[in-house]
Amino acid sequence: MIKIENLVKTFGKINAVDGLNLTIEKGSVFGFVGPNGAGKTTTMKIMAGLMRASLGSIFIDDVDIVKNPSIIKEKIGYMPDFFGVYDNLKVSEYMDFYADAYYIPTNERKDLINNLLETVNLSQKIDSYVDSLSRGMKQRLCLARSLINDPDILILDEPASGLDPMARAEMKDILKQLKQLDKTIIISSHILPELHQMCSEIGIIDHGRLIDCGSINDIMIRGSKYRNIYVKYLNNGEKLLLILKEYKEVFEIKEGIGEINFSFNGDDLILSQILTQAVKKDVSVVSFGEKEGDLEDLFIKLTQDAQTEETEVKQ
Amino acid sequence: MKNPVFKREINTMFRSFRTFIAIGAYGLGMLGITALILFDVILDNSRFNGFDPKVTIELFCCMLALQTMVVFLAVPAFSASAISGERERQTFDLMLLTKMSTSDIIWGKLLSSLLFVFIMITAALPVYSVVFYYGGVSIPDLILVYFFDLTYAASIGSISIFFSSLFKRTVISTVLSYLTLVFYPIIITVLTLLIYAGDYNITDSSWLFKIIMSVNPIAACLSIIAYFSGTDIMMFLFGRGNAENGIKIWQMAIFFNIIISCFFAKLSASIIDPIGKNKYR
Ligand SMILES: Nc1ncnc2c1ncn2[C@@H]1O[C@H](COP(=O)(O)OP(=O)(O)O)[C@@H](O)[C@H]1O
Ligand SMILES: [Mg+2]
Repeated sequence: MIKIENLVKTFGKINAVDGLNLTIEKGSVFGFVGPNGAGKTTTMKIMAGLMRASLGSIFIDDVDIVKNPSIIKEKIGYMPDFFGVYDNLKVSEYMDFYADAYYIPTNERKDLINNLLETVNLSQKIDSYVDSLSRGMKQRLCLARSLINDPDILILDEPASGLDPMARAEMKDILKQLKQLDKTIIISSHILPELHQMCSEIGIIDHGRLIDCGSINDIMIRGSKYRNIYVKYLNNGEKLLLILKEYKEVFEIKEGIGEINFSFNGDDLILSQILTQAVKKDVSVVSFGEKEGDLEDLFIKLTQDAQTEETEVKQ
Repeated sequence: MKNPVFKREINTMFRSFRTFIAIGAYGLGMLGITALILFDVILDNSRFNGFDPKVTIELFCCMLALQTMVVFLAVPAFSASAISGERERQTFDLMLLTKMSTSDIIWGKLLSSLLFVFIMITAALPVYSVVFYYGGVSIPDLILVYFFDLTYAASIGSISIFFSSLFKRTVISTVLSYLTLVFYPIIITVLTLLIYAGDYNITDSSWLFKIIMSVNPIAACLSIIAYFSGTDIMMFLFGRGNAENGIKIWQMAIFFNIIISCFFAKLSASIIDPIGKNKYR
């Protein structure tokens, strides 16, 4: 378990991180979301031991890593938002250098490197020069590098930024694989919808402070913002309408041709009940889901709310 | 050698075109100066009555001077990018993440620039065979010169690495390294001359005078040339002839260089430590 307590980092007059409190459960995939300049990178750098906190503690299994930075090197793998590679090294040599720098014995390195490259789908590039890899491949190589000390906690700062959709999908697949290895993964992004399929929990940060934290559903409900659900069907749409009208969480039903849209402010459990009922009543559902733009609306709303509160406090 | 940075640097050293250019240019320079002196000696018949060991020593001293100058000039080119170069390439944080300590990183960088210098001056070794062939200079003499130059490479390297740790940009650390390299010897020489001008009352072999001389690279180089050639350049430059009694100035300079290297290496290591004690708050 990771517990961040009252973390503060000041740069001159700016509080990049301003009293952050956060708990991340072991084995979870945690999404760290916030607009640019919110303090995500700063927090992650402190966790990775690349920056000293001005105040506060970060506990990993009850040991404060701010006071015991040597633990970081054992337990944490970190992939920065921007990074470079040595242009005169081959992929295998690149990995070997970092294995060496983590003082991994020579006889264990070959298997380790082969396994890691396999995990990130780069086995066939083992003899290529690092410089010749595409952006997405470099990103994956850097991910393999961050796994070289077999860390319990993996911190990825905006891993999908600057990647094309293909590379992004590939990254997502690899992360799913890593989730199975029982690692705690922390991923930052400034785009909420990008994270929500991947993360079991999300923390929204702005101006160095945590605005909200929990599963997407919880945040949605707390944000008291309805979700936009769509149902596409072939026939028996009128039966679906009857079902929907029974739920108090459903409102603003709009009928289209072969499609019904409605607003919804319940959780996923109720949503699944609706679908089950519809199928039972012979509504031939073709697709059923949530429109994603709304997550982004919520995100903007949440961060704006926090801002207005802040100005109100100041006045 | 267990240092990962050192290992990486030497593995990739010969993939860089720069290495070959540096070695090639230096080898040609040595060859050139040797040829010039030999021609001069042979053509000047009044001096040429068989090979006089004195001529070989003269040649050796010229080679020594050239080698020392090349070492002085080559080291910052190699070391001033040690840390700032990694920063510019955005590989520095990745190195800090590893289990290497910051002094592992600094010493890896410093030792690899020493190795570079060593390889460069060793590549010109065949040229030295001329002086061995005609006698007058022994192999231990040559080893001594190598060691002397390597301690200078270490101290100049450590200062360049210090600038490279302190400033984010390689351009700045390179300029500052060369400025130090040029102006430090000039300033200290002028100061020495000013302080001791016309003051013949101080004993030449006084420790203070010796120390001041030994922290001056110009004096140290003249001292080692004087040691081989038997001439008294110190007398000529500073008007005092017996500063070399007892421990020699170049010997003290070797000692001084080792201290300087360790000091700046340690200082650089603490500068680049992101969570060192001085970085709190
Ligand atoms: N090294 C630094 N010096 C001064 N200010 C910084 C530094 N790093 C970050 N900041 C400031 O701290 C704030 C948070 O930055 P950052 O953590 O990078 O945000 P995010 O990663 O969420 O976009 C920003 O206002 C940024 O300008
Ligand atoms: Mg960032």
